[in-house]
Amino acid sequence: MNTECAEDTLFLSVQAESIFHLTEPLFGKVITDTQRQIASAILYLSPDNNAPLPAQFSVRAIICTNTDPRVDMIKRQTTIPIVIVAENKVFSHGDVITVSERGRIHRYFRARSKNNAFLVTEACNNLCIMCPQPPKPDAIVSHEAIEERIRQTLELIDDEYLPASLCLTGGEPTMLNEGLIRIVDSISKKAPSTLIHLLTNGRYLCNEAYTARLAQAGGGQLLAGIPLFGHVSDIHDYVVQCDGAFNQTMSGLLNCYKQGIDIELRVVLNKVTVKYLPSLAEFISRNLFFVKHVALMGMENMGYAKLNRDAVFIDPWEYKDTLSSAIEVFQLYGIDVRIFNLPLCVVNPDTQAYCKQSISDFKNNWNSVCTRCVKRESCCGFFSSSTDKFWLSRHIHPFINQ
Amino acid sequence: MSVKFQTPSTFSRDTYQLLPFRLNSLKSDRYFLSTDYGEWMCLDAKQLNALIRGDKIEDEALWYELKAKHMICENREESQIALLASRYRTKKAFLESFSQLHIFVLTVRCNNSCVYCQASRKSCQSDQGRYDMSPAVLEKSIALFLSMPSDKLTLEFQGGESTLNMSIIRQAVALVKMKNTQKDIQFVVCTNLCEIADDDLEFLLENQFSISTSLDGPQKLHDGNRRFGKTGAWRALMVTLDKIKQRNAFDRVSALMTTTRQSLAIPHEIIDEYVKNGFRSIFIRELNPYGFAHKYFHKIGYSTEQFLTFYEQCLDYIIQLNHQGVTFRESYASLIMKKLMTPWSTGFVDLQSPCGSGFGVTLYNYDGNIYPSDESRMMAEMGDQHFKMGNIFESSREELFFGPVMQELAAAGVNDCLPVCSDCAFAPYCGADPIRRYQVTGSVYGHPGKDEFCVKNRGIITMIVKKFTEGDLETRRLLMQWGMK
Repeated sequence: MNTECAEDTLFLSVQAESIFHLTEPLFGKVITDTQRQIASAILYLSPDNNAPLPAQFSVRAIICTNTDPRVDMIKRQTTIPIVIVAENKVFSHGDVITVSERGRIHRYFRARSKNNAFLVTEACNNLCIMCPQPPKPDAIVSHEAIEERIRQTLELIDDEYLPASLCLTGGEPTMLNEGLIRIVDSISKKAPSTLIHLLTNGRYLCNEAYTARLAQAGGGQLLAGIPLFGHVSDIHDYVVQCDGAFNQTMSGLLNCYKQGIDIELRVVLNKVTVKYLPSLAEFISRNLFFVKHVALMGMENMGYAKLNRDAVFIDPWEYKDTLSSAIEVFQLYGIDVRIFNLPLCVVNPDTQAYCKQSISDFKNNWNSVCTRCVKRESCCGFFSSSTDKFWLSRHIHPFINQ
Repeated sequence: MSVKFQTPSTFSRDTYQLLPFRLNSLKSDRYFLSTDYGEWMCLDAKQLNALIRGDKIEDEALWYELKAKHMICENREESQIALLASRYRTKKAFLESFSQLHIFVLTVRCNNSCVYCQASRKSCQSDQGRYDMSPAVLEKSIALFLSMPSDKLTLEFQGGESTLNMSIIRQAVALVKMKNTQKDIQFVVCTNLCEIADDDLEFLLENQFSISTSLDGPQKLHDGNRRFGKTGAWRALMVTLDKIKQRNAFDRVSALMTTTRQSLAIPHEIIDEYVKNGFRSIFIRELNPYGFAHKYFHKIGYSTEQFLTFYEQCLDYIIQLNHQGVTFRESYASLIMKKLMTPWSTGFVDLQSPCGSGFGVTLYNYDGNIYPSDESRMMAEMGDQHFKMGNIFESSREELFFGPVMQELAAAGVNDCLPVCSDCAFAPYCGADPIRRYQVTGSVYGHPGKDEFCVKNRGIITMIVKKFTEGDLETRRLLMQWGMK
């Protein structure tokens, strides 16, 4: 049924090159089969799709690429909205998208991606000194609208494209309070075998009754990704810029354990957190031994990490031995540890086996020297936010076969 | 961006409160501090005094360590108490499902005659009807065993020489397999492996038995301690070990050594004997004050101090061997390391609080009597029935497990409530042993601080803490591994 050939480039959003007949914002599911039109859907006409065009279009809108010779004919044939995008912007059947009146396209759900995430709020009760996406004030965030949009998106996902995992991220998702529980509940009902990866700072989970309700809504599907930045409040509270946050997060972690929510403990590696990393590893191993795994994550040089670069930036090359020691502690205690966002050439050889290809598909990048590297296939590469000015490491080097 | 960030000092306090901890002197100006849930650290006298006076702790790493290990806090928070409560429950998790080690004494007849025999043995030729477990006792005992609350149980057969009553072992396995549907049951047999028939050995291996045997060291020492027939116990043991190795089942075998006065001079030879035979660990065990050992003390006995010296020589040699690439460990040290380094409880019943006797172990004697441990059974053989819990035919479960013996063990078996122990920083890693104390001192409470149970365990824990905290990186790593895996 699907004749699509070109590969989905998995972009998150794009500006249309030009638009016709578009008078109001659109929201709908993408279809690619010209022979099976759905009135509420948006037809993406791939340049590779040579199937004959239908005599009549009965869809909400049509997306074409700017090189498609059929555009003029379609324009004459119909008055439904037509959105023209660059040729390398490939959509997939099953995507759920919005198109603004001005032609800004957002893909809420990408049927072909393994990194689908719902941004449930941009408000946050922490103010992390290295936050890559600084939060917005509560006042300008409409949580009702977001919740409604997520519910609509879920409804449009075809069963065959239900993802293996779905990330709920923010901001801080628990800022939605009961709204988050409703979202988790609706995901759980729609996709009972999808892993719900909830990225939260865990502070609000110190409310045990709330955590119990969340656990009830998410069943066994929830994996809470919760950050811990230090083995003492002094370090953690400074990193998140909030007095008392450490105690709340610790208590939230314990409540997750009690209520049967799996935990992925996340540590962002920066100048502040690496200083006592082996102590943190020991603290986690002895106090939070119930966590499913620990993720040690290279810092993304974006947002506040740029603003506070002097305070937070450290070349990963400088902490590679500390990283090895911390991994040894986790390994001794039998705690599953994974390293994210660090290219293989800036960690010790004994660390490489723990490194994951982690950077989300839409923000991955490579250095020019990487073309010669024989380990590129197994390396995570860089955040596309790493630039000449905000460089990651002075020690990027290719592995060359002898 | 107009956002204002606070400096690190904004989030640090100068004042603190002490949380409950205990401390022991390690001599040489160092102190060992520990908490009820098992966290510990070492301080020097200056640091300790500053802490107790409530002075500001200037050393950042030390300040963090004190906080992270919950020796101090800035303000007592409910949430912290919840964490510590969870830690405490984890450490005491071995109590949750009550007794898990169930020892069946199948016979008191034995084919070895050992200088330290703990079991007041009878010879092989003695009346089987009188000294062996009967099918009737077995059936009642298995029924009680399977009614125990734990989902995981260990059924250990011992003697005398357990394999002299092999038919009862076979019946026991058949009964368990017939009656048990859910429980995870591990079989263990304690045997000197001196004369086990091939088909019996096959049966044990087929049924996934763990085999616990005895090896005291080189041939001369082993045979001197353990008399067996004309060939000697050592040679007979080696023949059986070879058979087990040929069946690729050597990993089922573990061995215990018992230290006699004759062992003290040859620690290296004893370890070498274990390594040579392919063992990966040794359990350096002191004499028990039961059975014949008591009577022959003047020939084979030694002081606790002498034992500690010997133990350290063994330990140092084992560490040295590891540095040379030989993977080998000492089991008691591994156990102490596990207690020191992990949040977990151990299943080791000889060093627990509440005590393993009764709470972790139930012993079913061949004559139907029930005891809280092997040692209390031996004492009964010697004429003192003090710890007899009841009889399989006569007593109800209530009478057995809530009777006066268990009440007494509960009163004397919790080291948090014993004089001296309650102030000792080693208490979280140590245990209580009312039965041994009753035997040695005449009181279930013993004389903590100076009786041999205390001197030995305090000595070994101190030794291991020092080796771990003062040792080189390689030694530290090795000891960590012993505790973890």
